[in-house]
Amino acid sequence: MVGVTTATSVGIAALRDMRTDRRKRRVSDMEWFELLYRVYLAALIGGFVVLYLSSLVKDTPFTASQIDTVLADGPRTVGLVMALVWFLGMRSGAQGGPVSVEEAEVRHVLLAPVDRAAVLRRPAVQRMRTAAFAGALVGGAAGLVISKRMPTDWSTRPAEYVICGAAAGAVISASFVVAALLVHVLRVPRWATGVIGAALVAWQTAAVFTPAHPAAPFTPFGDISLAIMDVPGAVAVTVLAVVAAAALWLSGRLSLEALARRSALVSQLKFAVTLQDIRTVVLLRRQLSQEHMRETPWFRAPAVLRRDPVVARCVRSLAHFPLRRLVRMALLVVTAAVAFVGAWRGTTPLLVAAGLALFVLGLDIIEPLSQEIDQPDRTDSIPLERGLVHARHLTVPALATVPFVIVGSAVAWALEPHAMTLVAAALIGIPAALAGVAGAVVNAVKGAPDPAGSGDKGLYMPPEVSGMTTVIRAAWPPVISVIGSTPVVALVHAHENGDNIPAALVRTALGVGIVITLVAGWVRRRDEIAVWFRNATNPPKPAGANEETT
Amino acid sequence: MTAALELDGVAKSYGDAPALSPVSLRIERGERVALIGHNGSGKTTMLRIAAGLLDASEGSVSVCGHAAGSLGARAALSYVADQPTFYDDLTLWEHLEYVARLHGETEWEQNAADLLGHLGIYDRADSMPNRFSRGLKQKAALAIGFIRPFDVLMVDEPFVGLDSAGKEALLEMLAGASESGATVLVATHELSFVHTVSRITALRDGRLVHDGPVGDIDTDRLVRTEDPAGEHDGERQ
Repeated sequence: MVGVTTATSVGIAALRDMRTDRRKRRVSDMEWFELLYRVYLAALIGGFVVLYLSSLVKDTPFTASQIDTVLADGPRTVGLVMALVWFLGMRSGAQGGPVSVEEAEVRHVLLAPVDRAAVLRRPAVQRMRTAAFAGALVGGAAGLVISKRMPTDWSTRPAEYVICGAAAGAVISASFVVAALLVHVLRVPRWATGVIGAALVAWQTAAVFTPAHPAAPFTPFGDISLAIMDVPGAVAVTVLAVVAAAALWLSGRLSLEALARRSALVSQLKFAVTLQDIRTVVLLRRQLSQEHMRETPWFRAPAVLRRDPVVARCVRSLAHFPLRRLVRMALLVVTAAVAFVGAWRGTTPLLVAAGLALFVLGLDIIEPLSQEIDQPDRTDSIPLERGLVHARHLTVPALATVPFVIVGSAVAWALEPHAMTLVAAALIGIPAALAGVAGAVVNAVKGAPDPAGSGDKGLYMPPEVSGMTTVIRAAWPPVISVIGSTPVVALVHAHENGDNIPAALVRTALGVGIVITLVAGWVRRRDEIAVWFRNATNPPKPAGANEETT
Repeated sequence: MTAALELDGVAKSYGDAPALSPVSLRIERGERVALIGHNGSGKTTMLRIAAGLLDASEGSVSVCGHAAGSLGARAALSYVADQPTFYDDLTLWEHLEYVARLHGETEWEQNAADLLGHLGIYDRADSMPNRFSRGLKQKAALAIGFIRPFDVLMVDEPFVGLDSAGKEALLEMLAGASESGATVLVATHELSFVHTVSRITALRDGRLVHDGPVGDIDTDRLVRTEDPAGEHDGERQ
């Protein structure tokens, strides 16, 4: 037992053997029929979604001058996206990302005298591979969108845009992991990552927006996305590959403290994602990034607002939001505003991006309501209807969207500096922001206890029906948020047809308003609706019915 | 001779919140030490830093002359945490094999059988420890902690959840480890163990408040939390 002190790595063979055994066991335990069935369902649903979305994109082809603009500004703009991804990756690395391993692996393997780099290199590569795959999907879809707007007689064929978009997406997405890994293994302090990341983003921003368009580090990666094959692009990818290899080589220097903290959270996160439990995903993401509420509030709730306990509770919650969350919310609204401008300029699918950004913003803004729903026992102990308690939590989050709408309007005006922009920003921004909140509210409230007690009804449905029901339940809240972005379509149509733009916007905004009102009404009357629906679909048996059948 | 465990001004804080104020401590080889303190006093933080699971904000730790977390320290130190952790897809026996082989042990089967028999869980060897009750998990974690060779044994709250037979078996195992020359450091409130040690180290609110022989010290006083006074200052907004 004693006298074991050694400085040589042992146990690598045991590690390899055990990993091989576990992999074999997982493969042998796999339900192949179920797996194939899942692949079939995913292909069916995914194929339908892709075909439907593809048919939606019927935008007008670029003019010659627009093509010149795309070819000139495109690489720099894609480079800006990569700079932002790099910045986020650096932040992730400073917070302990991007690698996570099993909790037991930390305890039993990383505390054993085994070369840690040998243990950690594989999960790091896996993380890079997954990121590259996800990025390739997004990049390929973006390439598809661009190809649809390119003239049919253009020299680059649509498939090339898809392939190059996928390649650029894979590189950009993998660079998130590379940046995170590099910052983590070099133990760069959090403040330094902020400074370096901001400097890189500022540099790339200058390349995009200043008339001089100075050379910037991420522009060559943007060339790949537009099928521009040149030496700087090849050099940039080579440099990135070398940096990635160095980061992997040093992966033994990853902090055990960070790995231990992340291991339990990441496994919970994966489980929550499997269940499409967005609220849990949000909470776990906050824990992973160590995002805690401020102990000292930004402001004191005014006395007039403290008269209503629910209003006071909501205002106090917002006053404790950490700076990081406020900045993220502002960035989301900037993203939505830029997407709206992009949709106005001709790329209609960007309204989906705007709606999703506002949905995520809504998830943050409705924090007081989500907290209430997280504590159902407390809500039920209040001598008020649950629906009324929840509905009273809607006012403050709705009003809290106002400053974000102002920020979004300012961004839109900066990109399209006309008087009409401000009118359009108000008539598009307000309903869109409220629809973002409405989608988030539906997502939160559907997680509250079911008053009709029908939570297990999916157990008796055939898999196709229960699977589809699950998909619809998960997709419905973001869809509501995306619906809120549709006034921008009315704006484009009114402009193209020479109609009265404010009138067209008011009409569609009223339509979105009806959806928002229905959501508010559903929150207020959810319990009654659920009970009514249950009785309508499954009427209670008349008295004595049981005796007759027995 | 190098100490079995040496902490030199070790401190840990999370942002502005201190978890452990600078602590300096030297534990010689073969010593048997009880680490006591109230909940939140910093015991687990100190042990996790020594094990290399947490990075110290200040100071340094060495295990048998090796920096905490280094290859040498990992070979010398066996740490049994307060929250047992297992793989989902390995039986208890497979855990024992894996950990023993990770530490270069080739002749481990007899030792594993003896350990499981001593802890009264031999019949559970082929079960998944992740599905065990709290007490059985604790026994499984102890078996894994003891299957590997070590110079220093650190155990965090090992008596929690154990039945009387389990406590007795653990006391015997700790005594056996000491007799074979290992240094044993146990964070515990278990008086049956505290009365067997040669030295008690106590933490309160992250500070070292006692370090010395057992003697006649009032262990109950050392683990008591002092009431914070004057925290409530009337109406708050």
